[in-house]
Amino acid sequence: MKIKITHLSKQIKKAVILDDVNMELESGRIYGLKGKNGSGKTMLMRAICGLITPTNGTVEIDGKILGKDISFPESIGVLIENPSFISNYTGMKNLQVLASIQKRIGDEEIRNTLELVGLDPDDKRTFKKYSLGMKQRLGIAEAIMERPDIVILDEPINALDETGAAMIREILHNLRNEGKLIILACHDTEELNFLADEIYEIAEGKIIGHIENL
Amino acid sequence: MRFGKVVHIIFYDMYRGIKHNKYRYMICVFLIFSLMATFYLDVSVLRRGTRGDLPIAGVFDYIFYLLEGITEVTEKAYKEGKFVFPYIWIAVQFMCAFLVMSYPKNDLEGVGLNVLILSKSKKIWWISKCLWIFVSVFSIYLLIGIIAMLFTLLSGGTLEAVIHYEIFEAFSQTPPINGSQMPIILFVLIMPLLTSTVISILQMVVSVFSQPTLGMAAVFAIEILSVYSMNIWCLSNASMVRRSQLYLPSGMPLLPQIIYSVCVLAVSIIAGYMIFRRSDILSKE
Repeated sequence: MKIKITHLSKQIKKAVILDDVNMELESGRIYGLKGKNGSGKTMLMRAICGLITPTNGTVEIDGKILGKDISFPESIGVLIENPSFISNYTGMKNLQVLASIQKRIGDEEIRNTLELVGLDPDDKRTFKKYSLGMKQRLGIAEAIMERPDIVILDEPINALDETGAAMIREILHNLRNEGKLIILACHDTEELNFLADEIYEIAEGKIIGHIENL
Repeated sequence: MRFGKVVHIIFYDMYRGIKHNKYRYMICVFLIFSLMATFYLDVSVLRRGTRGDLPIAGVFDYIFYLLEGITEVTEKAYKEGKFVFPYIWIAVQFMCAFLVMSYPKNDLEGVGLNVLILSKSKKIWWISKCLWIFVSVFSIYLLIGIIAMLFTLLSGGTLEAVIHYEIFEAFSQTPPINGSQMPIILFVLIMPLLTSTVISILQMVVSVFSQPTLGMAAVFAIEILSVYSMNIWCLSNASMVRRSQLYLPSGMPLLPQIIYSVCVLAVSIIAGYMIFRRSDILSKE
């Protein structure tokens, strides 16, 4: 799996959100995006997901151009901003509904994923009764449950306690070792240094720094 | 794309869309029931008074009461004090708009985003929403039919496809003038359903690419313009029974109306999808 971002720019109304971004990302690595709020991290993630149309430039997933050859990456799991689910369904039910779209996994895999992120698959509480941390965990579970080739997580450690954060770190490292391509945004530099193999620093939509092999 | 997956996503959308609107449906049921109850009581008062000759209102009388609209607005109507704004007809139009209002936009900014990414197809999302709109609009007309039937059965009226114009004449309204002999269901249900669907699709196109409130504003503009301007280009004319050829030989021409409505529907769906395909999906502001 390879993602190639070439001269990617995005303008919304008159604001430049992304400015000539160039990146090459490969399987089996965790890429960190570092930057202040409003620097363009989330917009870059949305561009890789196929949720926004570049003003200029391209995003290629294994040679296929997003928005031209394909609408969305073939195998991707995403958690961008606040996770949204059906409020009067349990966590398990929510994931069952979403898993039934592609039918790649069954109840057993869903249960395993929920346990992996520290949620009880048999919890009868509905999503609207979840704490922020539980919602975040469910969002991460949804992103990884089908074991997609690309995993994009925006601030995954947000709202998690230390146990939850440690759990997520382990999950991400395991996914990386399975050959997944992981992109995560995090405002905590220490966390990013620990998790990521490469870090891109973004400011005002531009890549201003790149650190490899941490 | 697996056909089973497409059907599954569509059914899932129907279920979620209807659940999203459950309180709005309650309001619509209450409104339709109240309007028909008013009609029932009005007719009852007339029949108990000097108009005991009037028939018991039948199912199509109740439906006509909701969807009749008004004849053309003219200076003469103002001078003779005969202009009455069609509040009841507009209430039905706004019920459809009320149901459509925010679900597509909310879905795209919420749970539907997960579905969109997992389904890997903007086309399916769009088609699913268009089908949901048709189901929502159809449900309003179904509710109108069911509640009309309830009142009819309880009062002993007829379920036949006939409108007792003498009832409406008793309310000082002009009777039809040698109208069409075509089935009245075409004018009283099919055309209003088609028109409401077209307007609701237009509403969704505006809502998804701007805001739901602007979508409602667009509907408002179409309806008000149609009240004051009786011509084929003002879409909602097709849903006012009193402006149809059922009522007047010079009424809105049926076939051109159908062709125009279907064309607007097709263009809205296709153009809407073309724009949606290229548009950005951003977070809630």
